[in-house]
Amino acid sequence: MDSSEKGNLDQVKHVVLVLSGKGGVGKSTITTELALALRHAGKKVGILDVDLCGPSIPRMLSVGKPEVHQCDAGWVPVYADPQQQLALMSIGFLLEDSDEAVVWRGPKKTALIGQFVSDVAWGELDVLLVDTPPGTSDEHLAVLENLRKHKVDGAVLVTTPQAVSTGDVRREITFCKKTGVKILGIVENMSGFVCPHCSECSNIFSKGGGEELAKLTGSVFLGSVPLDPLLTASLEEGRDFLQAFPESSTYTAISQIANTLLSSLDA
Amino acid sequence: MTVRAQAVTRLVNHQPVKDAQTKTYVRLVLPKLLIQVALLDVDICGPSIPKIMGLEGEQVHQSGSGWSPVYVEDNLAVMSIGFLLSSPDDAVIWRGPKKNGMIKQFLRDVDWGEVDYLIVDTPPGTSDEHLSIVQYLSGAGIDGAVIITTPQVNNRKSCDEGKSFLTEVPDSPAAVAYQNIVQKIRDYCSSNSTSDEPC
Repeated sequence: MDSSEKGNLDQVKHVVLVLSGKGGVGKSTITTELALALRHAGKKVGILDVDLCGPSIPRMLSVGKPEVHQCDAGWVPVYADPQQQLALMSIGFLLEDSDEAVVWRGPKKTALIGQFVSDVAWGELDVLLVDTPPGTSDEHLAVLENLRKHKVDGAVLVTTPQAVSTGDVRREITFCKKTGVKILGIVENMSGFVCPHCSECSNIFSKGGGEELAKLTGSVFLGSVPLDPLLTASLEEGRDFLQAFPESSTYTAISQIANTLLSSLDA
Repeated sequence: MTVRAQAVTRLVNHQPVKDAQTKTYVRLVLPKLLIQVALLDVDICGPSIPKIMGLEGEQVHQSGSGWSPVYVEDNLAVMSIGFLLSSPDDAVIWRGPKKNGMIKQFLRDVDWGEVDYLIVDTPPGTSDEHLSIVQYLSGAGIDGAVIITTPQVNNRKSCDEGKSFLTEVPDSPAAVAYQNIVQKIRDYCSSNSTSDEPC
């Protein structure tokens, strides 16, 4: 085993994959908000964005387009905060043109993900969150193959309430079972809409699909996060929603999910 | 059996807009115009079309002329890997080359018959499925693409990426940005809001 490979992940206490069967469920949003919540809870967090064709986390964390530097141990991750409690590595940092599409076939994606997993000098981390694209294909297999040398604590599955979304998450559950990844729990995103004007929470997309799915498959239901325009706006502007709106019900929802996740990781 | 498509439109779906329900609104319009429509679902890992079209549990049959697609109506034929899976829990854990092979089979081995419009639903991103469908249909000539999005700025960037991917596809008046979800919220809120200010 290459010693630098072992070193780069050796000080990472927990590795959590964030998966969804479906696109558009807000997986990157949930990954970002979970990372911020864990940081607010005093943890050192890293995010590895392996969504090569749609890397959105750099913008959500307002890190812009920094240069990625190398050190002896490998690539230095980009820090989203001056205290260096939230580290990020994304393909988005390596693209010259921000509007450029990454049009790669599977083998090339697999090779780059291999590098991402082994060659980023994360240092000490409490939790490394791995944001994946939707589906069960090259990227997911590449992440698991390259993390085989290091323990993967498990996966958080993100869904929205609709049956179409939960249908795809059932396939993702099968993927986890077949590849031996423990399912840490299911998050139902866009569960209800918090209107900033009338302050009512209305269920425009129905509700409860995620919780039903958890019961059906014997998984833990971590919680639901509403569709909140204030959260959406924060993400677009790269602001820390949790710092800006600590009184909101969305903040409570996300914090509870993060705490439940931490308890199961530390158990 | 070749697809004698007079017009081929491709729907390119970019993150985070893979809620297939949004694209279905577009697709359901065309069959009402009494033309032959074929709907091909190339989202191999996440085939949502069977559920959305109310075709869950349907099977694909084979005959001498190839695989028969599933007909929603006389003039709307559908093909998806979803029809080949035996259970809703079955996961398709395939790498790129195998997905490409399946897409090729869908185009070559399905007995589509005479088709006026072939509409292709794609997964999010710009990868194997997208490259392959453009490559395999290059002989037929793709009319263009419809990019579907929601209003957030993050998604505008995804659409720009989609446009850059589409540079090899000829310019088409069919390229439209279809903004969904926000309209749904506006409709709901305007009928339920107790406040005077529009949401």
